[in-house]
Amino acid sequence: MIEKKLKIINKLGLHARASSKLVQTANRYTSKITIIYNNSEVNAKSLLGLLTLAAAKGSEIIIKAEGTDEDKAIKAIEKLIEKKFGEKE
Amino acid sequence: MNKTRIFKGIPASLGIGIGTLFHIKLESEFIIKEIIKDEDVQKEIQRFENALSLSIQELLKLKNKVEKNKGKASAIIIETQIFLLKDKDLINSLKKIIKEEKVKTEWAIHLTKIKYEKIFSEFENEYLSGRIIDLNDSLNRILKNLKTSQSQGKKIPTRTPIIIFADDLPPSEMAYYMTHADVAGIILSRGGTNSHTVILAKAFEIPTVINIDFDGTSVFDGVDAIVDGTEGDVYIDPSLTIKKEFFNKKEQFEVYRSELKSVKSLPSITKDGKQFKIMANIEVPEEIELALSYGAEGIGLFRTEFLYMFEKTPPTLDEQTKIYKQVLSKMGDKPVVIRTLDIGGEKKIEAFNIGKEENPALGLRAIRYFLKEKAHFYTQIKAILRAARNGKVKILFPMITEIEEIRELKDIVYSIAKKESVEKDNYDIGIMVETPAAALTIDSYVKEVDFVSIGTNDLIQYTLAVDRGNSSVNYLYKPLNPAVLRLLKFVADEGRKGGIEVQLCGEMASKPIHSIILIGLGINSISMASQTIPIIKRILRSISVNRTRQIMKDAVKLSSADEINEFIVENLLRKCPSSLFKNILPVKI
Repeated sequence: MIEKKLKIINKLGLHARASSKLVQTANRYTSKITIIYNNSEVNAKSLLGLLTLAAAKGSEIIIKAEGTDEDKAIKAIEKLIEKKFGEKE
Repeated sequence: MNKTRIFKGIPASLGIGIGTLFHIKLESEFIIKEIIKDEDVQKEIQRFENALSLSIQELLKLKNKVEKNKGKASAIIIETQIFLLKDKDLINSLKKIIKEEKVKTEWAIHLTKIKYEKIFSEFENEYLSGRIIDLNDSLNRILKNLKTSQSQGKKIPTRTPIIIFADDLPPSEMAYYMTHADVAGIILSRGGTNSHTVILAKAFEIPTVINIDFDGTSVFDGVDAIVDGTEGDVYIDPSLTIKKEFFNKKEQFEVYRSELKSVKSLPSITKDGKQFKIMANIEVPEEIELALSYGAEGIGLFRTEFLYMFEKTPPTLDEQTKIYKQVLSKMGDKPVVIRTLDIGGEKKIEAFNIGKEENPALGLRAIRYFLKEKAHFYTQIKAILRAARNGKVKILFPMITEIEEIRELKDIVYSIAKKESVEKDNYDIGIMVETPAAALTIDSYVKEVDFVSIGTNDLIQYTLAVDRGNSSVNYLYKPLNPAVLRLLKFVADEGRKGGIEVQLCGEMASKPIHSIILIGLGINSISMASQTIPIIKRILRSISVNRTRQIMKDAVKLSSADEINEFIVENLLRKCPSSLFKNILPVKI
């Protein structure tokens, strides 16, 4: 199992579109992936779960992945967040 | 050997209907906790899954359509909803509730909504907390699809006349059956005589009885039944003798009805030579032939809500223009009053999403909604004006509270008319007087508009602060309450002083005694359901306006509805030829 702390840097935070992208990315991997923020842990493959985090810009979240492709999964998600989910700001 | 069972209800639309029963079961609008049996859990899960996959299919279709027309970016909202409905955590938690609590899907969805509404409402970020709308929208779609898979799955007999029975029947649902079956009668266990379904039933001359309580007795599809809409009786499994009797009664009623219709060729003039005008209220253009056959001298109220009720999206500009044109051309030189969409309050329309309100009767309805959502309003006004290019139309605005609304509405109409190059001669602008505020300030409104139309149903409700649909308080709903009559008189007097036409639509116009009172108050242009036109016309032709005026002048000074009623019976009806009321028996006075 690996864990990584990441900062949300896009303007709108983990909003619907960003969260959808995160779900899509997470779904490409078989590992169990969860996201922890503000004392709650949710399934990264659940849009509703991600939305309930209400992680705004500047929030620090922890990503946990466990499974055969855990490395790749974390890297892909890290890249997505760093690239601001493909948004301009 | 069968045994006739008789049930007593309230007559709502005249006539005799004979046919076989057809039960329409609708999901309750209010979600209740319905417990299911252990062995039905799997079936319920299946039901949920069916509705879910139907919802996802709908959304995918919608997404393609939006992408094609508006581009990818606009389709994001729909994509979000698809993601939500595919969310395994959400689906599993719904299934878990169904399995563990042994409840119907509706309740599971209800609990889920509450749970997330709470979570989302605590977010500080407004944008994120607003995402509850997406969730609720998706869940509502499932709720909707749960409904259709039950009520419309049933095959409707097309060859035999059917008697529909239901708890209550939304107008849109009723319209569906009107076009897909031979409906001979309607039985409702709920509903009021003013409900939209009843209004439609009257328009289509479908005998209807409401407030029927079958009281747990088993009533099955396919069983013979008779609806007596003149007495308010329902016969289940009638014996041959009774059937014969009612076939006769039906024939008699039809003769009576055609006799009444013959009144139509007589002029609308009272005994002392005063002109009056009786027009028809309609909901769909198809009713016009019927209205004319009853002698309607115009369309006093074209309710446009129905145009919006059948579809999930509002009708387009062209669709609306076509319908309004049709109405105007069918009516020829006779006046046509088109009321702009009156939604909100008790009328919910799927095409518009008006949020839940604490007190919808006093909330965002009619013109209040339109002035907020101007796009829909513009479309409707543009359509009405375009239809009137080669004719004349009267535009009526519902639910006016203050003069600023009238001014804003007029500005909008004028600017659209200018763009569309429609001359002022082609249209009149009028307002509904439904609020006590509008009634009491009518003296200043008459300078702003071409005509006013009093909507008594709402005016009474708002003046007396009584919900006529609430059986614990509707004893207070008295059209003859002096407060109501004084307002009516004031509006009629001020309208006359201001030189504009005062007309009246609403249930009151169609009650024989009330129609006499109205003419006595100075309101001689009334609009009602087509089938009551000949009855009222016959009565008004037999009275003297001058005398009635005199009586009403004193009547409004009395202090209660009961006193007024007594006074009118004493002074007016006693001296009326009794034969007048003898032949209008189907209508209770």
